[in-house]
This record gives sequence, structure tokens and C-alpha cells, in this order.
Amino acid sequence: MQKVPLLILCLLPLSGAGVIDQNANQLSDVWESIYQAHGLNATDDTDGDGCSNRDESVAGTNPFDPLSKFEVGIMPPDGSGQMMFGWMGNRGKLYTLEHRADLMSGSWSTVNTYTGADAAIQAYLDARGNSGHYRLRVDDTDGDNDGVDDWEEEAVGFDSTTANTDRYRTNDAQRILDALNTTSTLSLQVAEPLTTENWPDPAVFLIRRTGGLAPLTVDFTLGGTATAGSDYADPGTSLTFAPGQTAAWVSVVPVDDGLAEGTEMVVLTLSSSTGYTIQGSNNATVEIHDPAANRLPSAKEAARFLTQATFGPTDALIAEVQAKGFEQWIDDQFNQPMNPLTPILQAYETEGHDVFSEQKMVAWWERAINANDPLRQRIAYALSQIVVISDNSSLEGEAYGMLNYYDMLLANAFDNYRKVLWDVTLHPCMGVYLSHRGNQPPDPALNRFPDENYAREIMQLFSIGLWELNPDGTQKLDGEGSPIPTYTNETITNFARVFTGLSWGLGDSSVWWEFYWPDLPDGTDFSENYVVPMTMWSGPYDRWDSELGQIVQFYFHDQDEKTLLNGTVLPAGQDGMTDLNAGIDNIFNHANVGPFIGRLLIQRLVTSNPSPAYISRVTDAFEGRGPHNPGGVRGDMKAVIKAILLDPEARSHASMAATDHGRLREPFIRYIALARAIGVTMPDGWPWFNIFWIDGQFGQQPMRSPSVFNFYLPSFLPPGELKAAGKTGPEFQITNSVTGITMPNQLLTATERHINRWGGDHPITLDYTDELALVNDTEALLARLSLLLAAGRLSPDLHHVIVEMLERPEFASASDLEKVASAAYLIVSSSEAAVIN
Amino acid sequence: MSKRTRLLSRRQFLGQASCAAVGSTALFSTLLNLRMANSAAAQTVPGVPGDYKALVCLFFAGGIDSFNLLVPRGTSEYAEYRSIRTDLALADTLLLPINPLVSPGKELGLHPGLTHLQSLFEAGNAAWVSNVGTLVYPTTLAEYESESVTLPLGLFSHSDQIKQWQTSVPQSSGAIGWGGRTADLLYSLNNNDKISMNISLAGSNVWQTGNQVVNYTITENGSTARSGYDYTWGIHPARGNAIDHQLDIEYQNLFERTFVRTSRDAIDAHLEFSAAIENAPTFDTEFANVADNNWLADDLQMVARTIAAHNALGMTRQTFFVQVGGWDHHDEVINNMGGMVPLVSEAVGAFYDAMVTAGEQNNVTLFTASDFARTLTSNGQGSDHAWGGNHFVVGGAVNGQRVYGTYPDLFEGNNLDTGRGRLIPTTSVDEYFAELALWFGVSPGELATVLPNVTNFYTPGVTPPLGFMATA
Repeated sequence: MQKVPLLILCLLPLSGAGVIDQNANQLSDVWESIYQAHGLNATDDTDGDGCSNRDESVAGTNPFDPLSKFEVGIMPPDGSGQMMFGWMGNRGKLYTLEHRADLMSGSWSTVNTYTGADAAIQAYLDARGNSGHYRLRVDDTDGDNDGVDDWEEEAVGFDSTTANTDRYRTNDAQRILDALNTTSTLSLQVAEPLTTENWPDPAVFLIRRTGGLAPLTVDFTLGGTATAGSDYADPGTSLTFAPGQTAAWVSVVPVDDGLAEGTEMVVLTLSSSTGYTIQGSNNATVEIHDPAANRLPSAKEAARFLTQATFGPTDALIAEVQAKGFEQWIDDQFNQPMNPLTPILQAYETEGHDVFSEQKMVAWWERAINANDPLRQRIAYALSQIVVISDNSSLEGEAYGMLNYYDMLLANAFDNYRKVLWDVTLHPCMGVYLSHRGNQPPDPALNRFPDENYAREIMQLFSIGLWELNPDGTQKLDGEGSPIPTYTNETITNFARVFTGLSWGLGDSSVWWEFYWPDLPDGTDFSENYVVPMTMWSGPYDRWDSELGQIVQFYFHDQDEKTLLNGTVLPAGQDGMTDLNAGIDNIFNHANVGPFIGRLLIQRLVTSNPSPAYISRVTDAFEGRGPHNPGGVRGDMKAVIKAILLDPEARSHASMAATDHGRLREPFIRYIALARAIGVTMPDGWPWFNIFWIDGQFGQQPMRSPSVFNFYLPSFLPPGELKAAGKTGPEFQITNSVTGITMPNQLLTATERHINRWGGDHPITLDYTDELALVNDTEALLARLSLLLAAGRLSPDLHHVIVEMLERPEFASASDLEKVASAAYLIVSSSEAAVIN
Repeated sequence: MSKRTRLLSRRQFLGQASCAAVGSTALFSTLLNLRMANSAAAQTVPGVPGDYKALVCLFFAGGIDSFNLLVPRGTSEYAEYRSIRTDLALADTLLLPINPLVSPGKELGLHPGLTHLQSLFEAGNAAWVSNVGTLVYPTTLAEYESESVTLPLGLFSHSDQIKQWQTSVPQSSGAIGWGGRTADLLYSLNNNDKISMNISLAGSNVWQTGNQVVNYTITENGSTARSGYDYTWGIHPARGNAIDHQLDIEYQNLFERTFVRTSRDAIDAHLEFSAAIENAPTFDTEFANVADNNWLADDLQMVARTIAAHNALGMTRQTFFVQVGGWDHHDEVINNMGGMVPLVSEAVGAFYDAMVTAGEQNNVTLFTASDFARTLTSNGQGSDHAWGGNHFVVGGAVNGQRVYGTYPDLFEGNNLDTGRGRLIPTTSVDEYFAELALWFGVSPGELATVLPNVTNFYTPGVTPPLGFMATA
């Protein structure tokens, strides 16, 4: 016979080890504070729900809400004898199911325990053969044994797994007790002092609370020249602090009314109340700026632009962009003389320092941080990640060759992409890296074929890619809906024959042996020259063949007909340079180059996932159409750069608000941006940026990628939300559990000590002069660091985190430098600084 | 205790309740699909308790002169060796004798510093693979000279050959390694979404880089901590707490969300790794007698600890990459190797002992790799970059006390000699690695995914490529 078990509720007395009950009224003080239940009697049932106030305190439920109580719902056993019961759990409480066969004898034994969460709990019991009496107990627990119960801690935002929440030296019981006995003190601050109509970042008032744990409602009034509801979204007239909450925000989101209104003010005034005291001023002001037609950029807009167009904003550059506007600034940059890297390395060597691969970085850092052609420097760096060479290869040690290649990219940054392809093809470093230096025609007798390496990569990576593209970068599809390959292996073998006959520059191509063994022009010495463009040994040449016993004629440049892209045929018998020019023209004129290179440059400069319309506009510029290419010159880099940087998708406020817009700044750029923004102090008499061997910290180094495929693939989908959304994030390919530690560690070294990997004899330090002047004005300090390091995008949340940090007792005796460096570190290591959008 | 630790303990609880719920949904569903799609691989997935295997790659960076590791010892072959190596030849009286169960056709001995290897070999727990190197196809001297067969890119070049020994695709400049490709296939076996199944003691490396999996880098002291994060003095508690809260911010932008998650996961990975290692045996006894300056031993000791912690880490498959450099002996081959080889020997010996203590000796296989071997001829006490060389494999699952492949003739101008005793390999890296991959759990049907060139040398089937690993 089946006996239905009896469930009774059981609430144990308030005897938990950690319950705070200062007035010994059998009611938890935290519970009283949360429910504003001071002065209740433990034995009363204030809300008449059948549970005494004491029981409600034990269960953590609301004594004023008859629906809030510890109550178990029971379903009768189903066919298989399973009986379900359930109740609303409470985080921090422990529930225990106990069994007793006979209420007259024996004792309760534990059947199961359930950890409370802020959710319903369902449990099952097999009714068959388990007859007897059951009860469900609620207990307080103190898992971290800090003298305050887990429920109490969780209810006021403390961590119930540690006695020292938020790493305060004072333990949690003491801090909660102190707060219970303190009235809330509010201070009103400005986390974001201005906003612009149509700018996605609102102006933000920050109201901070110290002392007091109870829920708190704060009333405020809004005044000033702007009107809530018409000039900005009405934020209401009160805000609420949840139990334990220490900060709340009032955001001023402007309404873009299309009216020219000039700057308007919003003044927030906190109302007085017995529930809190106000520390400092009870009012604060933020500004709404109005973008008139053809207006000049705001500081934030300038900073955002400079994160895209340079290695990072500086005070001077922000001022310059604000004064000139975007397009004029770009035009002026086009006319800036180029700052090459090679002379710096030469000067370094002249001073007596050894030069190997790593020393090229002396020149690179100098230009990245200090050069007065920052747009050109940025474009060249972007190109260096498209037409890739790397000295993590047999180019190891060829520092001058690598810098010469880089200087070539600088020189071509504002020229034409045809010239980029041409100079890249002829550069000896590329000739070595992708092995077309010394490439020879097929030799059937030897069963030898030309090297296909460069032929493949110039098409796949440097110009047209694998698939036929529409002008907007989407793949063309054939009749069956399949993508169409841009070339076949046959195209590659034909191009491999185009790239024959090139060897070391300075060699004398009138004699065949210098193809293998070039002499210097004075005829004295064997020379593998890594800085002079390669020379074409076309032919014909005469050579004595000892087996045939006669002179034979031969060529180093393939003399057969070659069929290239789109069916273009190079006739047989052309000399090498003619073929080479025609081959580069053939690639350059392929319809893919505009969208393919346009997309890669957009990814490097602006956003990882440009819209087809954006790519299409850049393709127009590449192909000689549109407002940025009035000359109608195909491949004009100036037009492409303007099209990318001035596009609405790069500049508009709307794009900023899109959650899939933007890109991760690569580690090197984040690091340079820090140095540029703050400025650096060189050690006495030491002019060199000896920032060596830092690639291990960053997972990358300019001109040192693991392969011709760069540090990351343009199609890389970061695992997680971006991948789920089908969005690329190339830079995440080198952001992992290792660089996720080493990169912030290096940022800590930089913000606290020196920007070199190791300080050594020549530590280069950040120059915090401007920031130290603001050390006692946290709002101004954070606004400045936000603008310079995060393009003004510091979130109110992080603002609050840093303000709290600086006000903690640990910082009471900290030096000004520690304060500034810590604030800079928290910002530069944040998502706001890591992401451009 | 930090907030991060708290999040970690919460996740571990979930793990106990339901392993399948661990990890980000997106990642996990990818793994599931991968596993189902690769049903051939799935067949080789035992998934039974206690199933565990680890591969340890010991890379000799710089190109080890491995014809002075495994050396002809019989009278006539030693004379041939002596004749070509001249001042690079080891004295025959010092060579350590070995007794292979099957004669390799020549009587061979070991470098005098390889005492532990000698013991492991004689006990059947180590084997040699002879004249192995990078190849695209089987290659004869005639084919090499006429270039009528595709040859590895950048032969005799450090960077190219280091990369190719790790990719096993010598005709390509790609940088995805066969350990990475293996992990792409097998990492769903592991129950850890924070720590990679590929762990490196030598930083980023090509071997362990896959299309999805990258390595987790540790040092001989374990994982890398976020600087200052756990300090309890000065401003650090306040700043460490600020970092916790910075990492808890809920962003809207997907890039910011992904970045903050990556940063958080990196700290979690360290906490998880360091917590798992904390309770692992130290193997101080096994490593007690290694020299103070034996950094390889320090690295292998941490590998041993990590292997012993594999249950705590939720790992059933792991690879380790350990590197010891300084073998580019263009000068002073004899003296330098005389100092360095004993360190390798004692480190590997101690590591094997640690595996025996841990009861994992049959589940862990250590193999060696290097850029290339060195010219047999001398440049005057030094040797230059060459090609095929000799490597050893250590572990309880090794069919030991044997020499695999073909130990080549060494005389100058023999039919493998491309000049100066640069020998064309007679066993490809593909055959060498295929044997290891099959043992590790890659199915024959998936072998070509891991080793794209393998069918140029070996048809996956019942017969193993070389036979040096015991079948599971």
C-alpha cells in the first residue's frame, strides 16, 4: 500500500553563525534594511500571509508582500510514483529535504540538499517504498565563514565566497555592519561632460553612494537651457539604488532635432532627503553640442578619426584635425615629406651599435611614435600586412633590406597601387621571400619548371584573391550558384614564366654569369644586394656547351607565349621587362583589385566587416570614379585613402552605435597609441627607441609575421559571439589566453615603468606631465585619458571603477604617479581602448 | 580570494553536474559538429575512463649533428664514418653499445653522453628512426639534381626547415602545424574550454598551431600570471579589484564583448592551470640528479607535472612542445655536444622515470625533431647545414630496442649524398609523424588531413608506416 509522504515546511531559528542582529530582535538586520522592515515584531505576521516576520527573515522573503513567502508546491505522484515538489529559492539559502519514518521515534535524516538561487527549485521524490514523513528546511549558511550569512552577503552585493569582498582588508561582516549603521552619502559627478546631437555616447551624470545598504530612491530636478523631452530624452526625475549598489547614472541622450541651437546646458540638481546626505555640490552641468552644417570635428570625432588614420591621436593632432576638418587634414598629409626608416638605422649603426634583424625596430618605433607624416606611416604599415615579407625567414638578418622595402611602401602609400605591385615584384627581399629571384624558364632536359611561389601569392594575396568579386566585394556566382575561381593552376604556371629572369640588382645583365654571381658595378665583389631593385637578365646569352662542343644560345627569361588572366596572351619572344610590365598590368587591371584591396585596407584602418555599399564606394574610387578621384586614375591611392576614411561608415555616428561595427586594434598599435598619446621621455643623451624583443608579448612584430599570410587572416571568425554572428575579427587571431596575459602585462610595464621590454640602461618612460597636473581632478584626468586612449569612449562603468579605485584606502598614501599610471593602465587595457568603432 | 576564482569555482561545479554544459554554446556546438562530421576520427575516440595520451615534441633548434648521436660502431662502418667525419668523429672506444632486437644492417653505438638513452633503448622503451627528414616525394639523387621532383622550399635554411618539420608540408610556406591539425580533429575529446590541448614550453610555435587550436604557453614554472593582479600589498588589492570589475563590464559592441571575454578567459586559464598544477606531484625525486643548469629538465619536469594533472585539467589528449637550442655548431661540434648531449640524456631519463612514477609511461611518447642534420664533412671542427638525420622516440608504448628506417652509408659521394655528406632522407617526416598520429588517436581515414603529403609515402591501412609504436 502506498502512503503519500507528508511534506512540512521547517524554518530553523535565527541561530546561523553569521546573522547580524544587533538589537537581538530575532530579525536579521540586513533583512530589515533591504525590506525597510525596521521596528517589526518577530512574532507578528505583518502581511498576513501565514508566515511570521521571523519566518520571513529566515527565508529571506518580504514581510510586506503576502505573495513572498517560503511555500512548497507539491504535485501528486505520477504513474511511476515520481512526486514533484517545488518552491521559490533564494540565493545564499540552503534547503535540506529530511525524512523520518515515525514522528514518535527516531530522528530526521537528510535525503537531499538544494542550493538556493534566485530561481524556482524543482525536486523529485520516488513515492513508492519511501513512505514516511518529509520536511524541507531552510538554513542560512556562511560558506566563507566571515560572520555574515551568504544570503545577507548576496542580498547586498557582497561576494559570499570570500571574507574580503573586493579585496578590502576590512572583512565583510565589519563592512556590512558599518554600512548598516551609516546613512548613505551621495556625491554628484560628471562621467561624461558633453555630448553631440546624433552622437551615440551620451553625456553622463554619475551619482555615487558611500555608506548605507538599503534600497534608496533619489529625486532630482533637471534645468539649464536644454529641455528634457525635446532637446534630450527625458531621463525622469528619480533613480533607485538597489541594496548594496554604489553608483547610478543619469544619461543625457540628445535628440537630433535638426535645429541650429548652439550649445545647450543640462543642469542636474539632487533633491534633499532624510534618506541621505549630499557631499559636495548638489548640482552639476553637462553640455549638448549641436552639429551645424559643415562644422568642424569635435575633439572626440577627431580622436576617432585619428585612431583610424594614424597610429593614434595626440593632443596636437586632435587640435589640428579640429582646426582643419578631416579632408583638409588628409590633403595636408598628402603633401607632408616622407619620413623614411633607413636613415635612422644607418645613424644607429654609425654610432657603433650592432645591426641585426631586431635593430630595424629602432627605426620603426621612432617613426611610428614621432614621425610628422603619420597618415603615410599608417598606410605603409597597412600595406606591409598585405604585400607581406617577413624576416622570420631566410631574410633573417637583412635589416636594411627590410627597411628599404618598408620605405618603398612609404613612398608608394600616396602613389598608385600599380606602382606598389611593380616595386614589390622587383624588390630583392620579395624575390628572396617568395623565391622568384633567380627563377628560370622550364628546362625539359632537366625536367625543371619555374618556381610558382610568387605567381601564386601575387594573385591570391596581393591583388585579386581566389574568387571573382562584384564591385561591392561579394562573390560572383555562376549559373549554379557557385563562386567562380579567378585563376587556374595553368594561370599560375603561365605567370611563373612571366616572373623569370630576375636576379640581384646592380648586376650586369649583359653577361649571363652575373645572373648567378653579380659583381658590384666596379667589378670587384660578389654582391647579394637587398636594397636595389632586381635586374632582368632576359637574354639571349651565348654559352659554350662542352658536351655538344659548340656555343649554345639561351635565355633567363621564358620566351614562350603566356596566357594570363581574362585570356590575355603575351606573345612569344618578348623581352623580360616587356613581359613583366604586361603581366603586372594584367593583374592590376583585373576587376577584383578594387574590391579586394579596398576591403583589406578598410579592415586594417576602420572596420572588420565593411558593408558591401562601403566596399563599393571604395571600389569606385579605386577605379577612377566618384568625388575622391576627380582625375579618374585607376589605382590612385590618395583617392582610395580618402574614400575609406571619409566614408559615412567610417565617420557617421550611426555606424558607431552598430554592435558589429569596428575592429580590434592590434597589440602593436595599441602600444604605440599609448606612447604617442602620453608622450615619452628619452633617457639622457639616448635618442634610440631600443624597444626590442617585444613580439613575444604581443604575438606580432612589423615585418615579422609567421608567413606570407600575415599575422591573421582577413576572414578569421573569432570563436564566440562574433563567429555566431558570422562576423570577422582578424586581430583576434593573435589575441588568446597567452597574449591575453602578456599584452596587459606589457601595458602595465609601460604605464608604470618603461616602454622597453626591459628597462636596462636606457629606459624610455611615459611623460605624464599633463596627466600629473590633473591628478587631483579625477574627472578631468579621466576625460583626458579617455579621449587620448579610447577616442573618448570610456564607459560610465569603467569611469566608476577607476574613481572607486582611486578613492580606496590603498591609494591614500599612493604617489601621484601611481594614481595616474593606474588610471592609465585600467583604461589602456580596457575594451574601450582595444576596440575602434 | 579574487572574484575570478569565484567564477571559476562556479564553472567547475557546473562541470561536475553536467560536463556537456561547460563552455560557450557556440564553441561547443562547433565541436560537436566537428566530431560528428569526422566520424572516422570519432571511431578512434575511446572516451573511456583512464584513456589518456600525450605527445611530447622535443625540438633541437639549430640543427643537431645527429650522425654523432647514432654512430656506426662496427669496424668497417666506423672506418667509413671516421674517414668522412675526420675531426668531427667520436672515438670508437667511447661509443655506447646498443643491442637492437633486429639488426639495422650496421653495428651502431650512441654518443657517449646518451647514457640514459642507452638504458631506455636496451629496456625496450626507446627506439631510433634513422635518416629522417623533410620530403615532398620519395627522392633520388638524380631527381634531386635535376629538380624533377618537387623539393622542400628553402632546403638547408633554418627558418624554412624548422617550419617544415612542424608543418610536414615542405612545399608550402603555410604556418599550420601537424600538431595543430591533430588538435583541430581531437580537441573535442577534452573537457576544457579554457586551456588548449596543445601546451608549449617554448612560446608560439608552428607545430601546435591549427586552424582552430592555438597553443597555451607556459614556462618551466607553469602558466603566466597577470602581473600585480594577486599582490596583497600597496595599491594592488584596489587595482586588482578594479581589474575584476573592468572585466565584468557588460558591453554592447561585439568586439568589446569578445575582447573582454578573451581577457577574462586568459586570467581564468591561468587560475585553472595553476590550481591544477598546485596539487600535482612535483617529481622532485625523479629530477633530483639533473644538473643545475639543465633547463630542458626544468621544462620536462613541468610537462610531467602537467601530465600528472591531466584529470584535474579535464584532458584526455595533450601535446607538449619543448625546445632546446644551441645546436648550430658551425664550430666546435665535439666539445659543444660533449657538454650538451648529457643534459638531454639525463633530462629525458628523468622524464621517463617521472612518467613511470605517475603510471603514465605507456600513455606518453616523447619524440625528437630538429631543423636538419649537419654535413658529414668538416669545415674545420664544425659542420654545416644538411638534411636527413637521426631521431629518437621514448615511451612505454614504443616498440623499442630497434632502429627504424635505413641507416645510410656515410661514405662521400654515396647515392644519397648531395655533396659534403648532406644526405637525402630515406624516411620522410610524414612516415615518422604518421606513426605518432595514429597512435595518438587520428584514424587512418583522417591521416591525410593531418599530414597532407602522407600518401606520397604510405597508404593508410592495417600496416603501420614504420611500426615503432604499439597499436592501441
